[in-house]
Amino acid sequence: MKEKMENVISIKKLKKTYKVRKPSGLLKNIFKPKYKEVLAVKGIDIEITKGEAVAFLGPNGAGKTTTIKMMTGLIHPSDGQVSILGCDPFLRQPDFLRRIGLVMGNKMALNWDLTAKQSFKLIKNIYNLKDKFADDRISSLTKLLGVTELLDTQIRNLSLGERMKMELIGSILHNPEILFLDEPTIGLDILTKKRVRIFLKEIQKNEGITLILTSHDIDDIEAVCDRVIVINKGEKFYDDSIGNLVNKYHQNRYLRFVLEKELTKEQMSEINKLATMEEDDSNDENSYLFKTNNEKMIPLVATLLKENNVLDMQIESVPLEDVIADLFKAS
Amino acid sequence: MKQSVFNYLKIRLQILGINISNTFNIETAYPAENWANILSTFFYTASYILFLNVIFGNVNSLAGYSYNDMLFFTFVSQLSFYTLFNWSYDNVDALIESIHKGEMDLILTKPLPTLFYIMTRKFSIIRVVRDCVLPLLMIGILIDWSALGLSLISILIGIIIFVCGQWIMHVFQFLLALPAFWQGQSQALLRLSYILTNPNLPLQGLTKFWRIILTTVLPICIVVSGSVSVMIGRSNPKTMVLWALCLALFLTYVRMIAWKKALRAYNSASS
Repeated sequence: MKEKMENVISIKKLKKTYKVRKPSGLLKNIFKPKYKEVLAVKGIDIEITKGEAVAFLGPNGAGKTTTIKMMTGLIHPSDGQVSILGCDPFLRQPDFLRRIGLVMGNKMALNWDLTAKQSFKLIKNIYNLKDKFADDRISSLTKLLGVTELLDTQIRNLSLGERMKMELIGSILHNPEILFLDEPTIGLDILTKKRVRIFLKEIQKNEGITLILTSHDIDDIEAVCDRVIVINKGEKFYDDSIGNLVNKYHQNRYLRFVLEKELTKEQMSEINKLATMEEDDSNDENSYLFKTNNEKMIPLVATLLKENNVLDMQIESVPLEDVIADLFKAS
Repeated sequence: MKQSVFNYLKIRLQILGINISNTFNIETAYPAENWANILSTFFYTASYILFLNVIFGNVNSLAGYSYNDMLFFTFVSQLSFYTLFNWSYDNVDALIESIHKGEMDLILTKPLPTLFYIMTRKFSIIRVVRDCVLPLLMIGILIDWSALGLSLISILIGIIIFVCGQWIMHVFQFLLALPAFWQGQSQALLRLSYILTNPNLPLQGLTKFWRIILTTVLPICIVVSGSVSVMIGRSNPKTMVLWALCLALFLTYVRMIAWKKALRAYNSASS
């Protein structure tokens, strides 16, 4: 029998309305500003189980950060229910706050003027961590992210990437059950991004942390998350695994063949019934890139194998980036 | 589970200790800044003493205050300014900055008594000593203490009024910072409090109307004028101390309610 997984996040009919100032004349703006109500989140339902890595995806202003802020108890919802680890986050009870962590890519939790070690000491005291536990954890986490040598450097003297690594360590020093990450790789170089993604995956796997991530970087989501929730205009548009997202919204497949000989005109006309030929940037001689769907993929492969000596063959799904772009267009 | 008084105090003392230690680390990270501050307070105090000398070179008393009384008034006023600036203004200013830049998000998600943490974040012992000692020494040396007629009781009551007055001024600054929760910024209002919270106005020099206004509706004259006038025997100590205590208690309640409302209105800066 399949074991029922424990829900750590349960959101029902969540709504958030903001008051936004309406543009009016200069004097009216100062003395009698007018406001309009904007519905930023329109009745979202979400259930997340322990240990999942879930991405919130959406264009700017879609409502994903607002949803995360409501989950962490930072802003009050206008309507609906939020239960995080069985608690009401808006009460901001210390016992609840001890069980979550928050990283914001463009906001700093560590003090600019202190060294990372001094900042970690503050965190250790805030969470009332035992000296040995905190020291061991700092040592292992800094090793994992390759920043051990930088512990005594003032935060302001660290590079953006090094600072973000320290922020990550600071946010999970207390071993939270859920880690909320809002654009954690924003502005980082490729190598640092990669290291951060590996780190997040490691802590999810080894420590069973539930990861809730928002990012504009599709690679972050592909590398770290198992599930994706697409939000647009305050509504949940999609909620499933990344693999299913690709399958559901794009039945297309890209097939690349490297053949011994060039295709004849007759063969091309037969293939054209099954696929369209795409521009191929490969340097191989007699390399062809075809776009087809799942249904016609097998007949296409059979046709090509029948009369040609195939040197190499690759089947690729449509890149997630294209799927997301299509999804946003559709919504 | 209800928190015991012991735990309540323990957590706050721990936070205070950490914040003092952190502020110490920050301030010692930039040693040149300390020397610049010492010079600045020295020149300000010296010019103010010169100003008093010029005034009292032409008149014997001002609102019933002699040169010596006025030096004592300046002594308390400077003490009040530097302590208030260090424990309240800096922290209220940092609160606005945190809201404005959205860093408040990362404070509100920590298991802390938030208001206590925020209001002690920049509690600098070094700065109090650095900024206070030199001007107070300069003024203190010039005062003829025996001529002031201070008694132990008047000093004690004066200290109670001074402490209540500091708290009243703090709540005043704090309330002026809270609009930041609604509109994201409140620096201009806080700057207004900087001007208003340390008026060098002896109560006896004010008309009855202004005396009432500046000790009730806008109680900015309690901390210095109130405590000094009681210490040197110019005001009724019982009335003043009772009024200061009532006002401090009432404003503590207002502060608590306002903080809860502000937290509820917090929208968090966009990321």
